[in-house]
Amino acid sequence: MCRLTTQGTYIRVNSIDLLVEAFLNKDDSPKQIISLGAGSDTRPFQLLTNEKYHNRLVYHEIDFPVSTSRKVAAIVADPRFSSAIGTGIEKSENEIHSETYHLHAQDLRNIKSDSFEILRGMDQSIDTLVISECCLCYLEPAESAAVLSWFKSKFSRMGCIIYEPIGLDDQFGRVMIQNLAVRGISLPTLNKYHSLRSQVERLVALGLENSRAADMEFIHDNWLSREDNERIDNLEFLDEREELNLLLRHYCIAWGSGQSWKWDFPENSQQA
Amino acid sequence: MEVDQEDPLSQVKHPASTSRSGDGIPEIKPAENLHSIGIGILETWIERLLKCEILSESQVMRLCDTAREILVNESNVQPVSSPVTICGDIHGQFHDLLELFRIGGPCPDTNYLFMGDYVDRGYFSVETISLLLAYKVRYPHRITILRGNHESRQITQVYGFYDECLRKYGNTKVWTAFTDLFDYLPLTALVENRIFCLHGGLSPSIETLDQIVQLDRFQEAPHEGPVCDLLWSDPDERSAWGVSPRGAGFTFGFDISSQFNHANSLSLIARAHQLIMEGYQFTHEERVVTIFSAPNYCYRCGNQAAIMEVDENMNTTFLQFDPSPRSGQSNFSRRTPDYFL
Repeated sequence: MCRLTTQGTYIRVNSIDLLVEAFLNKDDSPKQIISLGAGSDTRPFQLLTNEKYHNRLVYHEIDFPVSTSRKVAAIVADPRFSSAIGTGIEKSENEIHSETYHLHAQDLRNIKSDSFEILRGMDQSIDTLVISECCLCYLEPAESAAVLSWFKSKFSRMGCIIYEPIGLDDQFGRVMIQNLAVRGISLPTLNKYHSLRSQVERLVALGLENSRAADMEFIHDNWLSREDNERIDNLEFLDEREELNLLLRHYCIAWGSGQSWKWDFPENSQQA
Repeated sequence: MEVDQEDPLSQVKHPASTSRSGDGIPEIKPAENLHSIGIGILETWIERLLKCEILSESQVMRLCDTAREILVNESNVQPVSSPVTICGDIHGQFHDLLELFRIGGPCPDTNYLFMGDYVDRGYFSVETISLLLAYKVRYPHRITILRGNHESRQITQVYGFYDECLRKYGNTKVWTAFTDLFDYLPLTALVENRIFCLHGGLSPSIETLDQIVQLDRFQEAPHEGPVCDLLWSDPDERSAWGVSPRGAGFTFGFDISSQFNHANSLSLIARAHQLIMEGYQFTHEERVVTIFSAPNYCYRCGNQAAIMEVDENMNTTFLQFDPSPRSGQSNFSRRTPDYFL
């Protein structure tokens, strides 16, 4: 049902944009974003061409080589992307590095304490935001925890945003797990981080004591402007809200930062 | 059962006034209703449809022509006798419709009243509407089929029925025949003058059942006005009339249901139109019940379905059911629904 997917994507992208902008506008010091499993996301190109962040934002994207090679080709083929990533471009089949943009071909599960290659272009001393939009949920719980711990150990001034399904212990969730299994998709961390509370506890355990979470229905109703929501409703007519709301209640954003380096985000949450 | 002071349908004007007997139930005139399709042929069609095999294009045309002759004579507030089993949205989930008949009893052993939304979203809208129409033509007084907001040319072009007709027949003639027929489906039904049944809900333009009877329903479902509201409105926790988040119809509060039921001597409004995880739900202090009969709606929602049995004494019983095992068979694997991942 593509209309639901379009609406869900709109809500996800716009709410994560709000968090990212709050991070970037915390102050005008240099900032760094590291996106895990970035896929075909175009957020870096929009941010890097925004004058507000000129000369103070470096954007890193990490994904499997099979995914980054497609992105390299897309960037090279389209001047809107290649011009967005600035000067000093070095590229290979799977990677692109410029002064402001780094596309890393890496399997996150292979990161070890002595993995330095992935740190190329990363500044361990500046404000850093790690984003996982439905990426870590594909790993085993231990692998997922190890990835976040590794980043936390390297970046003392780290914030984190996680977008993932939750609440899969109900009827809807059981059907979702079955349907995804038919497609050969399994999400191993879902049992462990199944609720807003467990998502917040996960970030707190990482050392991000200042963490909160909310489901996407709450976020749609509370973060996004009523005018925008009405505009979207009018663009693509949805004859019912129940199914969309049911889906939205089964996805959440958890976000947080540590006590020593705090990132203020003004919007309401359901779980702190 | 307590008898009401006034029969709200006593002044009802029926287009087919000549075909009505004294007890309010139209006389059975098989020779007239079935003039273009014999009973034997109809039964072979039903047998075929029950195996989830579609009728041919010309058979669908004949079925729609015959069904129209029956439906054109039904009232906007079609009287229905108890016992009857009342069902909500089906949405092309054909195997779950067969499960419904297993749970509720086969047609015509059980009398049925369906409250619309037979097509769209599920993968077997053609089979679903064909079977219900075949039953309607074969047993016109055993089954009542109302119009839902999806029985519309516009909505079916967005939510799947148009594409399904095109895919299964190679052209849109069948879709045109079905949607032309949808204009004849009655808007509401009234069980023993006590339970008012419709797809969506109430309208600020309508205070009495008699006003519904006067409406001209033989047209494409409009975007606004009383006919639209009957197909689109929803009950709400908030009182009075409200703007519907669906962009059509209204939300109506407890006060509205209360006033409407009192003014029309009703005990209950039964309606469909909204996904309910348990299959049915009372609202407005049991003045309104929502019945949803598509289990695991869109093959994704995980909800139970329900139907409401009304017995001779107007006692109601709810039967809940889960998806038919066959709806999960392997030919669905390539068509599992999308998530946001």
